[in-house]
Amino acid sequence: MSKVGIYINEGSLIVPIQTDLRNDALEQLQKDILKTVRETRLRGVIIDLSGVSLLDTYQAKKIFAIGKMTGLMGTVTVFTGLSAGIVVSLTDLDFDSSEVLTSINLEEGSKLLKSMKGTTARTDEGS
Amino acid sequence: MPEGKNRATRIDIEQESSIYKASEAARKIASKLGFDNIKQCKIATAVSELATNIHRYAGSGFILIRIIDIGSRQGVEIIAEDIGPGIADLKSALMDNFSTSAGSLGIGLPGTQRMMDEFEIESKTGKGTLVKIREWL
Ligand SMILES: Nc1ncnc2c1ncn2[C@@H]1O[C@H](COP(=O)(O)OP(=O)(O)OP(=O)(O)O)[C@@H](O)[C@H]1O
Ligand SMILES: [Mg+2]
Repeated sequence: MSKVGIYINEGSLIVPIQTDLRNDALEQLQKDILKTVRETRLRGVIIDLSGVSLLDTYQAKKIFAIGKMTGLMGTVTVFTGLSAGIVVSLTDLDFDSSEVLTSINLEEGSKLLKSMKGTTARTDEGS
Repeated sequence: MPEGKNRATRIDIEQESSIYKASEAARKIASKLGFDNIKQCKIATAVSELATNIHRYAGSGFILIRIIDIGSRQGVEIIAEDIGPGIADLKSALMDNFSTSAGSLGIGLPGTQRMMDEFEIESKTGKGTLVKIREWL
C-alpha cells in the first residue's frame, strides 16, 4: 500500500497527498489508484494537492500522469488545491498542463465530477 | 567569502530524501528573509530541480544556501555542486525538452533559469557541475 491514505466518498476516490512524494512512493500511488479505479465503480478521482508544498518537474509529470492513465480507463481525475506558488512555478518551468483538469478545492472538484456525469465520466452507473 | 552573519547552510545530497531536505531548508531561509509565499515556493522548487539533477546524474553532491547583500539589496544565493560526470552538451542541456534521461521532460535547468533572477552554470565532462542561482528581495 502507498503512504497516501486513499478513500471513497460519494462514489469518488479521494487521494489527499500530504507528503513529498518521489520515485517509489509515486509509483506505488499510481498503482493503488489504477487498481481501485479498475475494481470499483467510481464517479471519478480527486487528487487533492492542498497539502503539497511544491511540485518539481519530475513530481508534476508523475502525478499529473495519473490523470491521463485513469482517463484511458474512462474515469476522470480532477486535481484540487494547487497553491499559488506551485502554479507560478509550474508556469515558469513551462510545464504543459493543457490536459490537466483542476478545481480550486475538494468541494468544487466533487461538484465538477458530478456535473460531468454522463459526459466523459463513466456512464454505466445505472446499468 | 561569506561574512560571518551570512554563514552558508549546507545540505549534502546523498539520497533521495536529501532533495526535500534541501528544498525545505531553502524555503525556510527565504521565508526568514522576507520573501512572499510564491517566491519561497519558486526558490524551493528551483532547489528541488537542482538537487534532483545531482541525485539523478551525479549520485551525490551538495546544496549551499546563503543570504547575500550588496549595499541595500538582499537576496538568497544557492549553489548546487557535484563532482559527477558533468554535462557534455551544456548548450542543449539549457534548452527546453533536452534530456538524457528516458521519460524526463528536460525542463529542469531551463525552467530554473526562468524561475530565478540570476542563473549561472559551469560544467566540465568528468569533473562535475556547478549551478549558482540568485533571487533578490
Ligand atoms: N548535475 C548534473 N550532472 C550531470 N548531468 C546533468 C546534471 N544536471 C543536468 N544534467 C544533464 O542535463 C540534462 C538536462 O537537465 P534538466 O534538469 O533540464 O532535465 P532532466 O533532468 O533531463 O528532466 P527534468 O528536470 O525535466 O525532469 C539532463 O538530462 C542531464 O543529461
Ligand atoms: Mg532535471
